[in-house]
Amino acid sequence: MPPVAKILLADEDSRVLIPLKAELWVHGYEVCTAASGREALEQIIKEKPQVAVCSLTLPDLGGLEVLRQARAQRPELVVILTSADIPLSQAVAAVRDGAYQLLAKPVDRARLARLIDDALRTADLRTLLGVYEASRAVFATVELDKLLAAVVKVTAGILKAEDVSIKLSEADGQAPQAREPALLVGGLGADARFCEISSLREASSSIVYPLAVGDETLGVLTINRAAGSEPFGLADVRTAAILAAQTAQAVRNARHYRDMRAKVEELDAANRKLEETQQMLLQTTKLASVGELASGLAHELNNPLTSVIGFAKYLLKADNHTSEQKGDVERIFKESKRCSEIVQNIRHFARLTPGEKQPVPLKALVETSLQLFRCSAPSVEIVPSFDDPELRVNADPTQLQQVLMQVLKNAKDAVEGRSDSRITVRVRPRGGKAAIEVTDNGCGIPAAILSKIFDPFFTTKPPGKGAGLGLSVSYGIMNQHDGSISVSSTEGQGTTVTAELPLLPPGAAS
Amino acid sequence: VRVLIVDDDEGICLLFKYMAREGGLEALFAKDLASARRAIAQAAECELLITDYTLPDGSGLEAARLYREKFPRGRVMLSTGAVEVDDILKDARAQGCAGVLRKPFDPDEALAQIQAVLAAGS
Repeated sequence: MPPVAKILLADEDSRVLIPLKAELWVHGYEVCTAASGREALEQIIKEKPQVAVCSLTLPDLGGLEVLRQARAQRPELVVILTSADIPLSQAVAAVRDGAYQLLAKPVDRARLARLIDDALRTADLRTLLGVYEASRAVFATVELDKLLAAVVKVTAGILKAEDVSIKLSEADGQAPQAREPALLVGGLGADARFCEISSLREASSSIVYPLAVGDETLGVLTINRAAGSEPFGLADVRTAAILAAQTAQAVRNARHYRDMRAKVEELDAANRKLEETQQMLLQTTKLASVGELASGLAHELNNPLTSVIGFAKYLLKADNHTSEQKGDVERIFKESKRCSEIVQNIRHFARLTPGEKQPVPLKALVETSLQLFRCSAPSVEIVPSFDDPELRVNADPTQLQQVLMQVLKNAKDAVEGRSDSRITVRVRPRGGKAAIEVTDNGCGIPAAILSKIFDPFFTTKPPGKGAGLGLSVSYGIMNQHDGSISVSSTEGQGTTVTAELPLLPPGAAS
Repeated sequence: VRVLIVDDDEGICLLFKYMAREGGLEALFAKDLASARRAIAQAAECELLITDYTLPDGSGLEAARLYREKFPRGRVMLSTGAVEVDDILKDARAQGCAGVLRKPFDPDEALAQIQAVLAAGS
């Protein structure tokens, strides 16, 4: 049923009013009347008619003045002015001040009724357009939180409500089942459906509108006007219907958007993980093939090396050469020993099978390593810290120590020459793993070579100071322990090498 | 004391010769499994076999088996330049080898090791 519109008829001549009132009543309108300008204004404020039909020649306040004052207070009011004689200046003023139409007296009753019908329809459309315009930007919002806040604001504005709330079914798992809207006016606390909702007790009238899309009820939109405000009418329910329908659609869009975003993020994460795995695989493959090569090479080198070392030793035992020759032979012996050590290192590197794993308390392992390390780096400030001194991992302690010593040795080389050289070693739990972070304030690693530092035989040290296997071996060892080793560095500021291992739960056996 | 040395590397053999001379041992040499088989067959007495693990025509463990057949109380040492020795050490233990010489070795240290094995066997 369309809402009943209220019309105010204001004319100084009661004989004019009676037939017009009768005519409008027949058309289904509710009619109130006034005989003066002041009375007309009072009625406009009190009765809130949608249309006022005012004579230009009302006593005390003329029709034009009523038009101005009424529209100042209620801009949506449709005002039709009537007059037996309409001077042009007055007609211009009337149009300027927003009169809907000027009618000549005597007023044609049928024409007035038609005019009112049209005016109300236009006003309705204008309201809907207003709702649409105001809400359009809001409903383009795809972020749920922002959307809900914006809906509340726009709804409160359009419906002149003190309090607007939206309850979505997913927030607390309770799905509102009501599919029918409700308009509540006065005595809300007494209504069994709503008496438990405290916010409604304060309200003089409420619209409770389900947010539904298709068969799905997403939640409910509640709009309250406080006690003392004018109660909601059926026109407001219609506006609420539009807002609720749009809100429901927008909520669904926002949820879809959110789900999609989550999926995209999941996909991104999976991609990143894949890339990391590929990198690791590449590194491992590289290590494995070089390991194989190195292993074969070492085997082949060991026979000739045995000869070189052995015969050098026998030459040294002979006493029939000059001191210069003796020095030369000593050099051969020493250098071939060095070759032997390099081959030994390759042996470590090639042996990618894990050693004997056992529960290792990290604090003890790190402290022992640092004790050894301090002797070789007396001028470096070494700062260990243990976020959790009880951390344990399942590892071959010798291999783990080998990794740590290697990383520390590199850190020492990086800080060489600094007066304030410092190395911090931090042991802490991180995402189910134990992390050992070794940070130095040394020269840092240029970004260009950062990706190569785990490559076998890659070194920046001068010949004789390292074969470029230390970090490769460390990488292999960490890999065998289901762990990882990574590096981050800023040139000129320092480097952090992080070794991670799966954490052994407290009290767990190996 | 007679020692049979099986190694295909001439340099190693010469080094063993020096070591034997220094240690007062009599050294016999074979460069592969086939010649080791002949040497074992011909030898009347031999207290120690030192064989490379990897021979051109077979495994040093086979040489060890042949040697043990003829000289059940003799001692066996393996030598190897391999880098992955876990499996070799296991085999050596299973075959009752008295020791493993890992190449490259220092001749003085290796000789000491050999003499320790001989001393334990006598």
